[in-house]
Amino acid sequence: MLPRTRRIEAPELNAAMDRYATGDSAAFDVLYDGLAPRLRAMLHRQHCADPLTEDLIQQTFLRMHAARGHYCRGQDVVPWAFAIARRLMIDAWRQNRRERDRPKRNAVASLPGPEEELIADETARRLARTVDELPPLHREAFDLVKMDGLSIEETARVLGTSANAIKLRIHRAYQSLRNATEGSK
Amino acid sequence: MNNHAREQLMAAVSAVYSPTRREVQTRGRLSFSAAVVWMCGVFLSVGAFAHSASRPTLVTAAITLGLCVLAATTTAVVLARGATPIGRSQSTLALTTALIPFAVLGWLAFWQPAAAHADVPAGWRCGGLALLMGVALLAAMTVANRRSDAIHPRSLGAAFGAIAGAWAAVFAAAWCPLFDLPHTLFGHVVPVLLLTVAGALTARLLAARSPIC
Repeated sequence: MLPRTRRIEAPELNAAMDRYATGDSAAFDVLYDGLAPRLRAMLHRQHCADPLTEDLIQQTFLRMHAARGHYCRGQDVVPWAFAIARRLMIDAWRQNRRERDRPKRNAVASLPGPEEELIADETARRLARTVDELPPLHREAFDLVKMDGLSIEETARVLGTSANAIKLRIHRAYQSLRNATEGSK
Repeated sequence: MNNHAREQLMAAVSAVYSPTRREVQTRGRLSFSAAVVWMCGVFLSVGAFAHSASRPTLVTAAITLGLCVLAATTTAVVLARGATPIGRSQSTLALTTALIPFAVLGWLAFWQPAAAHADVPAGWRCGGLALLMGVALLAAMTVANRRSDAIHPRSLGAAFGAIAGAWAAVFAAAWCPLFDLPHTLFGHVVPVLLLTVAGALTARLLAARSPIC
């Protein structure tokens, strides 16, 4: 297993997926090490409980495994993995009829170390609440770009829309956040 | 927990067969070749262009070429996977699927004055011919793209059906010299719709899901 601290960047993941598509099973380790933490963070931010998160990550990788032969050299694997995980998450919510009972973002209080201190701050709480209250479309785009580090284009592919629509959603999310922080001063 | 999940996943992945890119490409080439041979064989066996000899050659060429452009364009739109393996967005697939039957009807209606004919039959033969060819192409696309779509397999299946219908409409229109709105609807457009529905029903085959999911 690769060291936990090393973040595997997109080109390396794309190369690993390319090797995996040609039958190199060892490349799956690189994919898992590079993608699983990012998927886990994304799913946690969407309020998935731990067992469901792990289940969705497993299903995401199994689907990628099933479709590996259709991967073409040079394609971006990160947006693909995120799109699969997001689709699975939506399906799981629908299946379990949990959508209405999703916990609020400000209920997250067990983040480690410095983040815990940050969350304790009143402004951070207000921001977290504001992000949580954003319209789902704005929040999803904001999370993928600002939290998960995807580019505008990658986010557009994950959400199945245009880059301009993503820019607009993020702009509106920023406006809401700015209003919230100005209101707190 | 993560290590346990990882081990579980590794075991599952090694237990489930998944074709490599080379196998997928071979499968695709074979299935598409078989479909093309089948479609050309059927077209030749029913008389090919000789059957539409009563229609001016230029009109036949224009109708066939126009439908070819439509089929080729929509095929390129749907099959192009772009920068990620996600494929086209659901809205693009839906729009392409919805466009095809209207475009087929519109193009055939555009040439109506040149192809008008008295005592036009209902269109069973044209419809049967289109279905006979379209089903083969739909099967080929389904086989070639089996377990390829992890996001929106139903939309992709419907788009495949519509594309198969568009290519079948090329052959049916090249073969059939007649035009009459009910005939065109029943014999040339309804097969496209039926193939679209059939394509949507193949979603389970296109979905990239593992047997253990």
